[in-house]
Amino acid sequence: MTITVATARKHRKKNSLISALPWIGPAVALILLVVIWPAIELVKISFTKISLAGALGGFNGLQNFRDLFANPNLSVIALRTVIWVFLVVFLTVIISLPIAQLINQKFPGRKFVRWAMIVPWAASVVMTSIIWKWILDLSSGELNLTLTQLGIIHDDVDWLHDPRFSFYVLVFVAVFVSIPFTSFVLLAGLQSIPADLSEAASVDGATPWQIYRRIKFPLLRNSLAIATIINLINVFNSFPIIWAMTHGGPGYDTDTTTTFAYKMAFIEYNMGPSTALGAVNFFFILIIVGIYLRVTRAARIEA
Amino acid sequence: MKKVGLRRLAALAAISLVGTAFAAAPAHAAKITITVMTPNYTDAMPPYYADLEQRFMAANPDITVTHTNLSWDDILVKGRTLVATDSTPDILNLNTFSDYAAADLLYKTSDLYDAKKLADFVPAFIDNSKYNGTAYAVPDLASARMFFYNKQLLYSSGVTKVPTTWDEVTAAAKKIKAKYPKVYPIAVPLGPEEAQGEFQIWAGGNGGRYFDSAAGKWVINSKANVDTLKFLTGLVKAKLTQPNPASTNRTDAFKLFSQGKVAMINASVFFPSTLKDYKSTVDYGVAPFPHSATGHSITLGVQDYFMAFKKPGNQDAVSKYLNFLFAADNYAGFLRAAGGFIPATKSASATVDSSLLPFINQLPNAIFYPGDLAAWPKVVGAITTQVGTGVNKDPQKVLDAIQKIAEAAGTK
Amino acid sequence: MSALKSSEVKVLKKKREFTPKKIAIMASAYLIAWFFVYPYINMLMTSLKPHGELYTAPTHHVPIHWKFTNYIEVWKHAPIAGFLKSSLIVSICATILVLLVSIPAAYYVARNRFRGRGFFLLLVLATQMFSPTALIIGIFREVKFFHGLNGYPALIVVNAGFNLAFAVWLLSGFFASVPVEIEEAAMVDGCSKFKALTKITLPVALPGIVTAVIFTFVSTWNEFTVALTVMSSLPKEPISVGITTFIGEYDVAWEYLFATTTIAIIPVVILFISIEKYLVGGLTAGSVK
Repeated sequence: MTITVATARKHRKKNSLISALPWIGPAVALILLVVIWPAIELVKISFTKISLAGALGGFNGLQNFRDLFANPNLSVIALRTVIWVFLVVFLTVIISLPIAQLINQKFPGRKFVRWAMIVPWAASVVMTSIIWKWILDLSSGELNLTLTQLGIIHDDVDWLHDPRFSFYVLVFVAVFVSIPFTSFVLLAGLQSIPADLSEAASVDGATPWQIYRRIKFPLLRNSLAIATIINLINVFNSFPIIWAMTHGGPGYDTDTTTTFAYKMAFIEYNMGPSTALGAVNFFFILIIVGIYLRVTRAARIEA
Repeated sequence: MKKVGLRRLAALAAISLVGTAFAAAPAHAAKITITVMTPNYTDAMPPYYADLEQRFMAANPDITVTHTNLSWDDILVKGRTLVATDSTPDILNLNTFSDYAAADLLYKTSDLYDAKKLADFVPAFIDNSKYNGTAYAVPDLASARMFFYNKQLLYSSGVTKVPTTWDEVTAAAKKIKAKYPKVYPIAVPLGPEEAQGEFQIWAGGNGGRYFDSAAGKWVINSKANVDTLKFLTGLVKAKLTQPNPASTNRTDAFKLFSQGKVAMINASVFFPSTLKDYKSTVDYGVAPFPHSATGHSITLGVQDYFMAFKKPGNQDAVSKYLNFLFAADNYAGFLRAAGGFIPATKSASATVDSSLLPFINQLPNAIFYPGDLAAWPKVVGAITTQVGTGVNKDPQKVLDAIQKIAEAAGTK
Repeated sequence: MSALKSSEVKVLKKKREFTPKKIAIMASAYLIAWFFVYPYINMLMTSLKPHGELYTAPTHHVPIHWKFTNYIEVWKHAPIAGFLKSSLIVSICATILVLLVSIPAAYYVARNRFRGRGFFLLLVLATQMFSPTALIIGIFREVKFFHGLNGYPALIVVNAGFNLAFAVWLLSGFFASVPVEIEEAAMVDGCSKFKALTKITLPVALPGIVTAVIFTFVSTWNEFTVALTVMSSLPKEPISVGITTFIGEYDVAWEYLFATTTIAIIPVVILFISIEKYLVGGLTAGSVK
């Protein structure tokens, strides 16, 4: 790609925006209409007075933001959001690396293993969360049944509601739904590494671990960067897992800023601070975009 | 419902054919589409509405009904968004109405029903449907709660008398725990689904309320309420309840009772039919709800509402729809589909199943939510998310926080 | 023959033999495969239980009485055909819209430098960053602004918008991997630029297009929040929202909920699996970009 772009650059002079419009115009229009407009609308509402019934009033200055930051639960939730994003993405990537390596090996039934990994990817996250909730149920769930039959536990465990476990159960499900996509992106990365590279190294007497560490892993960096950034965004925006399984409760003990914004708007009827939090969430996302641009640019220069 | 769609299509096709054939024919009354949005009491509701609306549209060819059934969780969210963007449905079935009435979005009931029909609704329920003294919604059904106990677990543990006070509840729970270590003696579901009800029924037995209507102020952090939450915390700390009450939803607790894993529970009028659905073999008894040493037994009356939103030209259609729904036969079908609730009309109450009678007899002791306040939907949101955390944290602080939110929301 | 070339046979055999390493690989791979389908097996088992068996204590791994009729009964309990029809209309139209819009844009970006290219790529990236859930209030206000468009068009356009970024990203990687020289040769032979695109580049990029199609289709099929909040005048809600019909006030009809989910999941999984071959190739081009 770098090469083709370079040649393209050499061969062609820069076209004007007008000549580009027939090609990219529809895409720009769709993005402006579906993403940018609502985003602007939301920021506008965050400065607007909102009635109890949810109808819009006049300009409200920074009041919604003041209400938001006065909320005693916000700081804990913000901290939890950072932990949530970091933990889920880190675990996803760490587990997906060996899985990608594994499903890149040749062995009988590999096709079926890959198919199996596609299932959680194709199923909706809402439904997957509901199924896990059912499996983890205190008295009707299959997990407690199995663990009891194996003699591991003697009393039923309330996995989803016990404060010792609930947050980590949510992390588990988030990792579960993120691994398939991540593994496939990394698998794609592995397959783009020419086979003769590692063969040459192995002839030179390198151990498989050395080959992985010194040759394959550095070449995976691009795929890894893409998998990480897409996961970062998805996990930060992740709503259905937490909402379907705990509603962010008890209280706000498993809320992230995304579910908290939703809870304020639709359960507590606090539309004002909720839209303010929506605007703050944008700000967070912009920071992630910034980091992404930095990282990819750095990667491109190094490459 | 597929069938309805096809028939409607066929009817429309027929009408348009006729229309083209006799272009000069005089126009009928304007055609109108109304949207109806209802929560699922049970999964028998969608087939009920499909049939109802098929017959309604056959009788009123000018009116087309678009119906959306949603789970309770989803309809609360959806209702909120619709109002926030002025895209309300024409008819809504929900558990609150007052904020919409306060925003002047609803028809008065007197604009929709004739006096005879209105007089048929149970007066106590109509009183709860008033905002500023005017009824803006009608009750569709109601529930009352009582104390359910597992006879076998209770009696075989050496409890001789069904508990009527909190002290007796604690004593009985301890005996059950001693005899059956794996049973949770009493269920206290303070999860977000129904925490406001679970807490109110305990607090009510101690003289506690959310709102003091005589004084016109919120009393959520009153001493009676704080003491109630402390009492519940005591039960939890002594491990006499199911684990993690702040996250346990009512549905979870019902299930545990049906499995014989919970011995005592506060449950609604529809619980017997739920147990039947679960194929539960538990032999249970029903009693008035226990109270504190200083309080007296109460029941919690809860009702849901039908309301119609004001939109140009829809008054006649929504009125026809609602009167059709509340016609004796159709309303009887509604109650059957919803499963075991207390009817909201006098005429339907006359023929109720005998299993409902203990609950109806409790109604004179019923306390209700302050559902006539515009601030109530907001306050109840804060209660459901937060009150349960009181058993893990400081009860006083938790109730103080909710009180603050309520005071900010106002007393209108 | 075997006697003659026994040494060769040995070598061949050794290649096929299950070495401890290979057995370890297979065992862990099968375990992982089981882990990822396990929840859905549980769902399938639950969907075949009679309602009374859901809450027995202790519960059972497989139904005691297999109730296959659950799969017939659900159609009577909810207008599932209507739900599926709505989902199909929205998913298919959104997918077509995404293709129509993303192919030219991805192609042009991959082939040309132009003023504003950086800004365009940033815009695409930004789309990828926002989730419909976070924007839901804004989306709803917009849909209201276009009052007449409420219903299918709104849902289709919104879903297409949020899936556009991924398609552009994926496809531009693909187009870039097709050497310019091939196209130029075709153009020298008298093909127009457009013809070169449709005759030469598109067929080569087919795996990428298939991948983009499936991604858009599946994510639209599964989309919940917008479908719940935006639609107010659809004849029937899409299946993702429709299944909540089985969540009652005090009892969840798990067996129906899971039966309907199975019905909704199967076509999507089959679609996905049928392109597994292209999938890895599709993602490769994208990730090498």
